[in-house]
Amino acid sequence: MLIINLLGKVKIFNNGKDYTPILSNKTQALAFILIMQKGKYVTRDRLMYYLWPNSNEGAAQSNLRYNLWLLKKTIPNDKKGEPFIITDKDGITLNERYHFFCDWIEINNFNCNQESVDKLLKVNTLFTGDILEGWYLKHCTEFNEMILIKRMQCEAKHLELLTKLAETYLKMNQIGNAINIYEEIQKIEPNDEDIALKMMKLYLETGNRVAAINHYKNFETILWNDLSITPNEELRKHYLSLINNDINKKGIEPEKEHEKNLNKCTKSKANLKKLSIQCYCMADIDYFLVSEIIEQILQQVNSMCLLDFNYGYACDLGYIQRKIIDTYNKLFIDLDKDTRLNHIETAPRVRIVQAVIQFMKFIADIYIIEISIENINNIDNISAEIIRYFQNHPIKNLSFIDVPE
Amino acid sequence: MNVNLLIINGQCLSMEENLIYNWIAISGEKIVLTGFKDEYKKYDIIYDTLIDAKGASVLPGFIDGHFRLVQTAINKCNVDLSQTRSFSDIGDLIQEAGRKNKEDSIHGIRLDINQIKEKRIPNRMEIDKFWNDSAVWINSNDYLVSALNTYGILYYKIPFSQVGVECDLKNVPTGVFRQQANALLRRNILQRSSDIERINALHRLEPELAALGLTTVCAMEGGKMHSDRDAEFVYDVIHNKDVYFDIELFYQTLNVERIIGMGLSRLGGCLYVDGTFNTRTAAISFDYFDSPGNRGALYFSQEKMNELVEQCYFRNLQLALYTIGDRAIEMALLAHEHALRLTGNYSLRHRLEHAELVTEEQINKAKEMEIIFSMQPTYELNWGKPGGMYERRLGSAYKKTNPFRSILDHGAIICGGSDSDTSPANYIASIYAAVNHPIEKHRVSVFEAIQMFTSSGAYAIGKEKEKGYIKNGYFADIVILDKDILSINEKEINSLKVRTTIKAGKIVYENGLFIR
Repeated sequence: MLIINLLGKVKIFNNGKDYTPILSNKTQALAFILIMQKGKYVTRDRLMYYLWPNSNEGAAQSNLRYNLWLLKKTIPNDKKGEPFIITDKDGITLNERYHFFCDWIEINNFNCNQESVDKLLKVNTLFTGDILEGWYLKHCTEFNEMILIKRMQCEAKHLELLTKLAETYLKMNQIGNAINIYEEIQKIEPNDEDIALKMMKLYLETGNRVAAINHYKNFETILWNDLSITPNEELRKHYLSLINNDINKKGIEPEKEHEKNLNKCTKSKANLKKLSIQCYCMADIDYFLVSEIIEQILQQVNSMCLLDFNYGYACDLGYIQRKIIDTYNKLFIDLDKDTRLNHIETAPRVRIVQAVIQFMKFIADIYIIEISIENINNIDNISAEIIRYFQNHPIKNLSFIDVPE
Repeated sequence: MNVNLLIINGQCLSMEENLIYNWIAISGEKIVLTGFKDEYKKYDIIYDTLIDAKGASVLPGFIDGHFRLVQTAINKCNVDLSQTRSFSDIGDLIQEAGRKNKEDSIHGIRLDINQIKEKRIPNRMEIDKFWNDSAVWINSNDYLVSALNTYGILYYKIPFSQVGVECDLKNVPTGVFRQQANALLRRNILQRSSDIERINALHRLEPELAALGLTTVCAMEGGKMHSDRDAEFVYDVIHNKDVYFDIELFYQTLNVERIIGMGLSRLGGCLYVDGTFNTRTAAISFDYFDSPGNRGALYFSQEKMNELVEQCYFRNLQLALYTIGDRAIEMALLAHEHALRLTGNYSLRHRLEHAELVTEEQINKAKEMEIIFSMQPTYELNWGKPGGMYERRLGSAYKKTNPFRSILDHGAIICGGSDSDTSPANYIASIYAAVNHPIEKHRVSVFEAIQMFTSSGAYAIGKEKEKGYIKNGYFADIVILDKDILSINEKEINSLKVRTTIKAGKIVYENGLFIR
């Protein structure tokens, strides 16, 4: 059967034989015009206007005659003996009874609303590029404009098909497949905020909070690079709630999630795990005690929880406790994420102290922490100041055993 | 003592106050000895090459603090439409380019629509009349409008579904693209450049840069209206040492994670907080003189700005923000204040790029927060004269632009840049412009102007302990001029020429020749 591919690299072939190199550009263009006007009678005058607008009438007629002859000669009749085109003295038409396949015709005749997923997927594979990619016929304004219009129509059709496919997947609860399709849509519509929001929500539904955050960050960068604007309020609110963990990994509010007991790392107060920390002091080593506390906490907590802890604070904590950097980076590797936490050489004390306070608050929100300290008289000065801070500003779920004020 | 290179009879500005050597000995990549008069004779020096500076200035190699490297290189091959005044002028230049290279697509850049008689960009059919043998793309100087000929519209990937595709009554695209459609088209076109094209363009640019005395460049790459591939490419070039000069990459992205992932220590460059004076989009605190009611635009909300700046402070990244008008500078400074309150981190040498209309109060604030001003003195040559673009846009406030003297008097640091390719790179002209600012009270001394492009330039990239000075142990990045810059009339600085450029001990330019 004759196959004509108009999308992407143009190809005309029959039973493995490639006719594309045999036919001149104008002969191929003649075939394309007839295909795109399928079912219509195209006058010779019209064809000459499309392809030889600057030639005198005689030359144009002669060119048309020759190219029609070449087209008829090259493209064989189908199995039933039907010719590809039917000509008369005034015009030409594509033979409706001729049996052949053309990607553009398939796409054009396709009705997104009446087809199965399999059919939608099959047609989606036909979008291999623009119509008549790389084509331009000098001086043939009408022909070039026809390509332009068909390309616009084709892109609209592709978007319609992808949208239908994504919606169908959602109805079938195949979230992963829906995400893949929305990714394709987002490539065509990189600044579409509705699609971006939809994708973030879908990532959350699959429990991939990191992917939802990353999608927002990438979208934000593209939007800013292209249009110098930041995402709309709704999108931004959604992102902030992800960052602040108002919505957790499965897209469910924490309290509801606890009821369902879906997440080990729940924030519900009813069933918090207790961390018992026992530490030792060294008077002459700055931060020694708090570094010990952090190290022991990291040994006992579910490291996934750290994903919700501010990166900046984590970097600063890394200055006094290497394990936090290693834990974070292992997490990122597990999540196949490019990000890595860097060791910093120096940091002002104020930042480290702030990071310790924020870390303890963060952990105390998820666990009950009981800290007992040996040889407290040997506590280093900075740790002493931090412990004093916690005594003066008590945090729920954090307690020190037998530590004098 | 064996050395590779000995420079004698020079006025060698160490860039430390009042310390001028007369000779420099270089071994390998570094300066190993410096001294006065002909004391070098005492050291029994055996050299491979001797350069007699003949009493001329010998300076540290120039450091360009603000340079769009990839776009400058690539745009050398493009058609500059900035001086055209009509469609006919555009057509002439496009045809000339087409005739030179029939096969390649033609990119016409920097079209100033306000300057064109027709007051619009030509459409597809009009460009077809200029040239239809290959793709033609025309882009306005503010990057906001594009036009393609019919060949181009069929050749490039066109985002038809986007807002901004202009169509005629028959619903056929006219070839003019605005808004999202323009942004995507621009991105598609820029991304078509291959890395081979980029590196070839860079190599073509090298002789020109060597002739200017450039030894280090701060490359502002990627981001808004440019291709992020440019930044990734420069990152590779740095690691492969593909060019004679050093490159400091400023990746213009909001993606902090990407910066950290690449192991970079800074973010930004032309990270646009506002627009330009020319397009009346720089954010100012008063109405534009020639556009009443218009005070320009801010591209960030204060909240978003704070968030970005805060992240950089927390993650120990140097941040360079593009701020031109005083309202944009104010926004950036407020964000820095906010982040400083949270972190107490003063050590990152953040920068304000351009900062053309900065107030006394803002200079003071910036100094207190140890923020560096990255400025372009040649703007004053281009736009600062009475009747120039600054005056047309700002009225009498044009007298307040680029107040170099006041910034230095406050004790703040200015690193100098060319802003190539918005403005041509020329460091002698830049020094001249800073010394001969059209407003006398903003002028600086010759020494201070040289500092902007040497020692202060090095400080602004955290390299002041290895370059930017003529000092033992420092990289031998050196420029030799044809005369002594400190003794000629300040009005004649512009006539000085670079005679020799040395990068890390190797002569890369001498008497008109580039030596790879």
